[in-house]
Amino acid sequence: MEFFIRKGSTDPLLKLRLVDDGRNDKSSLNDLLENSDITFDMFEVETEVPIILGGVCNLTTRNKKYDQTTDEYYITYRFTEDQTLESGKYEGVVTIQFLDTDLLPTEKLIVPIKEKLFINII
Amino acid sequence: MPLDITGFTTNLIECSSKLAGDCCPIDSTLDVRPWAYEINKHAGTDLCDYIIERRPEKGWTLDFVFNREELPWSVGSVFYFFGVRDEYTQSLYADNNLSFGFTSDGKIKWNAYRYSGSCVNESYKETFYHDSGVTPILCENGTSKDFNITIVFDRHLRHTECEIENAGGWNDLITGSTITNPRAVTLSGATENYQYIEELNKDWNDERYARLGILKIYLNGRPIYKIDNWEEIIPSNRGFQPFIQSWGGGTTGSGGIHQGVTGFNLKRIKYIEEPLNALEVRHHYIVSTKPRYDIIECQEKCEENNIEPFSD
Repeated sequence: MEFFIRKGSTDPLLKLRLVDDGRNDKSSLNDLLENSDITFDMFEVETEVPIILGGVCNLTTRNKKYDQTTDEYYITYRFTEDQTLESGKYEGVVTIQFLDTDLLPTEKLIVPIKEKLFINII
Repeated sequence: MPLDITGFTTNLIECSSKLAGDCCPIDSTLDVRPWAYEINKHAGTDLCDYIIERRPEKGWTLDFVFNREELPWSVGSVFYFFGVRDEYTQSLYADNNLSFGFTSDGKIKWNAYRYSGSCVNESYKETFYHDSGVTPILCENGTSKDFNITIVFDRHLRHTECEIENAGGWNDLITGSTITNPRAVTLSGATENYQYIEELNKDWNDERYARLGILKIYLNGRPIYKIDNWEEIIPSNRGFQPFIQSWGGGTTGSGGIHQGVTGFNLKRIKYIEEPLNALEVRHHYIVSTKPRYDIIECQEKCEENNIEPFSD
């Protein structure tokens, strides 16, 4: 999975959509996401030097076409100018820390799962 | 030199959109709890709309900011009521009442007295029952100073136009009508005014599915409770004083399940005729609540702010 951004840019927004493959109950995953802390880490592929650690991600949702459909959540991260100063190839990792009702951490999910997310600063 | 703008002949603000002033005044907030009023009438004499919709299109949101002032949970009691006041006849208050309150062990409890029915031996048999639920215990840190409670009902179905009153709405309750004009007026041939009789019946029970949705409760912008297939309360014209919205306390009647007045300070109350989703609730908390009130999160983030430079 490749994401491209120009050197020194803050746009485009990095946006990840949860795969709706029909095998998982999306509504219960949404419930978990609503009470979670989501962070973004990025490190250089060659040197493995971290560039971003614990960057705060946001959740967004798209306008539903039909009221009865389940909400579709996206995880977004906006880069700062400082974070895109050096061109190169980086790997990105999103960590979802699920919380209980006392905001204590429970399970943790690291995405993407099947393939790596590469960020290309050009 | 003053700027004079003339030529306008129409009052741009419609009477029905105002909740104050001589046009459509609302009962004033008193220094006593609960602050209760009838939603179907204003204190004025003109013909204004309902203060709030009798049944919103998709659902509603309640938002509160409380301060406990170190009082125990036992004085929390009922903090919101919606429905019929001081009614003691079961068939009149059933499906016509809802309250939220704090329990003595620090949870939020909702209460409703409901109606149901089923066919037994080819005849329709009515039943009544007390329905309730509780959240987990609210975290101690997050409720130690000001704290924000948001309650959202999101109906599965969005009803628009005539569906609002027909799809599981109050038209299913209508079993007849009475003419309210004086007899002389009726005999004179003038237009008759009708008042519809609303009663619980099989049609109402059959359309229960159209009233179901999800009830969610949030503490400081984070979800703590969710129940699916929760039946909404549509206030109906049954009983002593229907259409009551009460903030800070409950009411007598309704089987005694809504009695009590909260001892906690209510710093802000809001009623929104839309169900906010989890992201909107969180956004509202971050933008409009957290900066304005003295709120401690359930688990404050550990942030080091006095980092000394390393030296041998």
